[in-house]
Amino acid sequence: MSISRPKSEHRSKKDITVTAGYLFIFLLALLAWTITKQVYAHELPFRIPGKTLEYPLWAVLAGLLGNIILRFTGLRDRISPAVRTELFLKVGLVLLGASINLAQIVNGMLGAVIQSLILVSSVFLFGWWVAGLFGLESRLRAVMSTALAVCGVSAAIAAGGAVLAKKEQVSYVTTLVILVALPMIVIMPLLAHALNLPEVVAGAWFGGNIDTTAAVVGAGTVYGDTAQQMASIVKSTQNTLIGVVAFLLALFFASRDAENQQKPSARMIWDRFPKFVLGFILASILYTVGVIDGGKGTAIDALKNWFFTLAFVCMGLELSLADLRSMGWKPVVVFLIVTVFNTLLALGIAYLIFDLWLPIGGG
Amino acid sequence: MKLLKFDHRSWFVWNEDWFAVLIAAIIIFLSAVGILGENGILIRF
Repeated sequence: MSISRPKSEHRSKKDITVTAGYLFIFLLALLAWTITKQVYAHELPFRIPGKTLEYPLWAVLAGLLGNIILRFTGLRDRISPAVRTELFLKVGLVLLGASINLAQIVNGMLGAVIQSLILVSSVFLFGWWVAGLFGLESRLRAVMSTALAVCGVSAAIAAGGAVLAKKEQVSYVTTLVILVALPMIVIMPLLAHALNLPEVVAGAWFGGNIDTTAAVVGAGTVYGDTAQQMASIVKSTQNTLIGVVAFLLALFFASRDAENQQKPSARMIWDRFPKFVLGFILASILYTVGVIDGGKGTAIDALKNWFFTLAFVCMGLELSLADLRSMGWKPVVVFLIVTVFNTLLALGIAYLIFDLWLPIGGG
Repeated sequence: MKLLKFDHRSWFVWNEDWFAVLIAAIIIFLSAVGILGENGILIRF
C-alpha cells in the first residue's frame, strides 16, 4: 500500500490536470464562438465584413492566445495530453458525414482517388528530389516528403515510425506543417475567391494542397459549406493512402539500411488506415437512407461545429517554434518550395477533375 | 472514470480513430432517438 499510494496520488493529480486542460480548451472554444457571433454583423477595419471571418480563424487565434498563456505560466506540458487535435477533428468529420449524401461522397471519392494518386506520388517524389538537392538526411527527407504529400502531422508520425526517424526530425516536420498550415486557412480561401473558383473545385484544391486535415477543414469552412464537404471528402480519401506510403517507405528503408531490423508487413497498411473514414461513410449512408439528419440547424450539426472548433483551438495550442531552431534554414526552404509546387499542381488537377471531367453540383 | 485516464498507454490514445467513431455514434444515436435536438436537450450556439 505504501508503494501504490504515491503512484495513485500522482495519477489522480495527472487526471485533474488533464481534466483542467480539457476545460481550458473548451473555454477557448467558447471564446472563439463568442467573438464569431459578435463580429458577424459588424464591419471590421479595412472594410472587412465580419461575416467573412468564420469560426476557424477565431478558434486558431484563441488557441494561439492560450498557447502564450500556457507558456508564460509554465503549464503547457502538463495539459498537453488534453490537446487532442486529431481526436476532435475525427469526431467532427464523422458527424459531418451525417449531412452528406452518399452519391456526393462516391463521386467525390472517385475524383479524389485519382487526384490523390497523382498528387501523392508527384509531391512525394518532388519533395524527395528537392530535399536531396539541399543535402537533407534521408530519414528527414522521407518524413518531410510524406507529410507534404499525404496528410501533414499524422503522415509525419506514420512515416517517422516506418523509417525509424529521430524524434526531433518528426517534431521538426510537425512544427513546420502547422506553421505553414495556419496562414493557409486564411490565404487559400482568399486565393480561391480571387480565382473565382466554384466551391467544389476550391474544396478539392484545399484538400489536395493543405497538409494537415484540420487546416483543410478550416479553409473549406471559411469558403463555404460545399467547400467544407468537398475538402473533407478529398482529404479523407488522401489520408487513406498513408498506410500504403508507410508500408512502401518501411520496405525501401529496410532494404537499403542494414541497421533497420523492422520487418514491414501488409498489416501495416491496415494499422495505419484511418478508420474514422469508415464511420464517415457509414454516417453518410444513414443520412442518405433517411435514418438520421445532420443537416443545418440540427444538434449533430451544432456538435460537429463544436468539435471542429476544439480541433482548431488545439492547432493553435500545438504550435511550438522551439523545434525549428534545431535544424537550420535548409529544411524550411525545401518545405516552402515543395508547398508552392503542391499548390500549383493541386489547383490544376482539382480544376481538371472536378470542373471539366467529373463536375459535381453544389458549388 | 477510466475514460478520463488519457496517458500514453491508454487504449483510447492508440485507437483514436475508433474512439472518435464511438463518440460520434453516441451523438448520432442520442440525436436519432430525440434526446438531443429540438425536443430533447437543445444544443445551439
